[in-house]
Order: sequence, then structure tokens, then C-alpha cells
Amino acid sequence: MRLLLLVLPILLPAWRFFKTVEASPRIEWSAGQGWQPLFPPPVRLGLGHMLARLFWNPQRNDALFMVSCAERIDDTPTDHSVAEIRARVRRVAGCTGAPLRFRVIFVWDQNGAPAHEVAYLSDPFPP
Amino acid sequence: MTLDAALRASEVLLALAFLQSSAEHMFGPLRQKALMAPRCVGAGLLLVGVVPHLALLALVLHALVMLHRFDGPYNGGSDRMGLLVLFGLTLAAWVPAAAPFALGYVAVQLVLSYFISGKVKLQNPDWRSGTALRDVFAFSAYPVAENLRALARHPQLLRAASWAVIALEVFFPLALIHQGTLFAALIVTMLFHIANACLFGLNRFVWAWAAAYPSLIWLQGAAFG
Repeated sequence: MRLLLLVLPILLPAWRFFKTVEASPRIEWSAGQGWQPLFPPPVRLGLGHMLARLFWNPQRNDALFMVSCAERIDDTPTDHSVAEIRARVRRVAGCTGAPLRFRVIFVWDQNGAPAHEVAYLSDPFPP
Repeated sequence: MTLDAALRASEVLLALAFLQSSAEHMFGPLRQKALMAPRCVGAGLLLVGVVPHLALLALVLHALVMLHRFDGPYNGGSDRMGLLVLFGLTLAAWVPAAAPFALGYVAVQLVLSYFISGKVKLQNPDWRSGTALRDVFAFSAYPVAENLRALARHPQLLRAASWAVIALEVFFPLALIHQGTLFAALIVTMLFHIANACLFGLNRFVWAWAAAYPSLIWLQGAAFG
């Protein structure tokens, strides 16, 4: 039944790309001292690198999957999405020794200035 | 383009799309490599045309495993189009009498993918004013580099770009009236996908949508040729 629910949107897609542009999720992680963005984009990217990413773009695609997981957590928190984000945080954090946490924040435009709100804060988990 | 040629062209392009996306996972953690290795084999067989029926069926079964593993598509819309093409080609391979229906369905969904996306933007005042595209650059998670956020400070440019996207998507179905207009439209839409890949990192859309193009070229010829 669950698989059927996953397949149906593929056979009958909605195709409503960017119908509205709403608050956008970011994931941040912490090992106890401040929050750091998970998979932050580079400051600058040349056209050559952009075109090369047509063929090779694994980090970016994983970052986009993390955006999907963050949106799923906001809709209905699932163990799956939380576990996927935890796995990436563990990989990025390395051997910190300290317990890790992550949070999902949503960023939106409020009268021309960015505003944000924490939508989810994970329990501490081992590195 | 004949039905058989369209099916084969679509198989080759889909195999390349699957090989590209699978290769990205092959340099990840061991579990991802193990998950994606069978997909590489299936896509490789499909590319060279060795037992394509079995390769397609194996790729469908693998797709179901992937949907379960990632609790849905790993890459949203691009995975949806890739799997739609896969399901269509598999039906065509195993039930040849249904091949025109299967390929026609993929073609219709391809047209709808543009038209519906354009229609929902046209109905949204934020898209018509360029505000929505400004917001995409200003604070969404999509720009591939922080310096691209500066584009949010060019409202006239973004308004023009918004209308260009809306016009391209909404008027895309009209391209079906002639083979020449269809080829021109497909070139423009491919450039649109490449721009999205460059600006937002959505590279898998390029490959997945390209895999669906032969179905539309065939349908246009069958319906209007």
C-alpha cells in the first residue's frame, strides 16, 4: 500500500513546479558550540564549474535531497527523514566526541529582509 | 520518427540519465554503492541494447526498491520524469500492442509538465510581477552559489525572465503543430533546463527530460505529420 502511494504520483504527476515560492528550509548542525550550515553553497561558482555539474553533481543533489527531507520533517516528521539528515551530519562532523544535534530553520522574505524560524530541533545523537 | 526509433532513442537517453545519476552515488558511502551497482548494470545493458526487455524490468524493480529506500523520489521532479519514461518503455517492451499508448502517455505528460507549470505561474501574481523569481534568488535554497543572490536586486530582469518562462511553458503545446516548431521548442526548453542546472544545480532534469523528447517527436509526427 505504501509503495502504491509512492508510485501513483509518478504515474499521475502534478507538474506544479514552483507554483508558489514559500519559506525555504535550511539545515544546521551543532556539536555543542554554535550552529553550522549543512552543505553550504560556495560563495562563487564559475560558468565552467556550472556546466561541468551537468555531468557530475553528487554533493548538490544530496543537498537537494536534504531540502526534501527538511520539507518532509516540516510536513510530517518521519524517522526516515531524521535518520537521513543525522547520517549526513555524522559524516560532515567527523569524530567530534560531543553529541550532535541538527535543526531545520525556514527562511523567508519579510519586507525585504530575511526572517527565519526554527521549525524542528533534533534530540542529541551520538557522533 | 518511427515508433521503434523513438522507443530506442528514449531507451538510450534514459540509460544515459540513469548512468549519470547512479555514477554520482557510486562515490558515496558503501551502502549507496551497493544500492546503485545493479542500476548501473541495468542501464548499461539498456544502453547497448542487450536484453533490453529484462534490463527495463530489472530497472523498474530497482526503482521500486529506491522509492522505498528514500521514502519517495531522491530527486523530486527529475526522478518522477525518469521513472515515468521507464514505466512507459517497460510497458512498450513487454506488451508491444500497448507501445503507442505507452509512448503517447509519456509524450502527453511531457507537454503537461511544461503547460501546467506555466499555467500555475501565470495564475500567481507574484510570478507575473517577478517577485517569485526574486524570492527564489533572494532566500530559497536553490541558487548554487551565494553570489547568484545578487540577481535578486534586478527586478526588471527577473520580471522579464519570469514572463519568458511563463510564455515558454504555456505556449509549448502550440509547438506541436509543425515538426519545425517542435524542434525549435525542444531546443529552447533544453536550454531552459541547462540554465536551471547551472543556476540551481538541477542537472538531473536535463537528462530526464531529454529521455522523454523522442516520445513527443514521434507523437507529433503520428498526429500531425
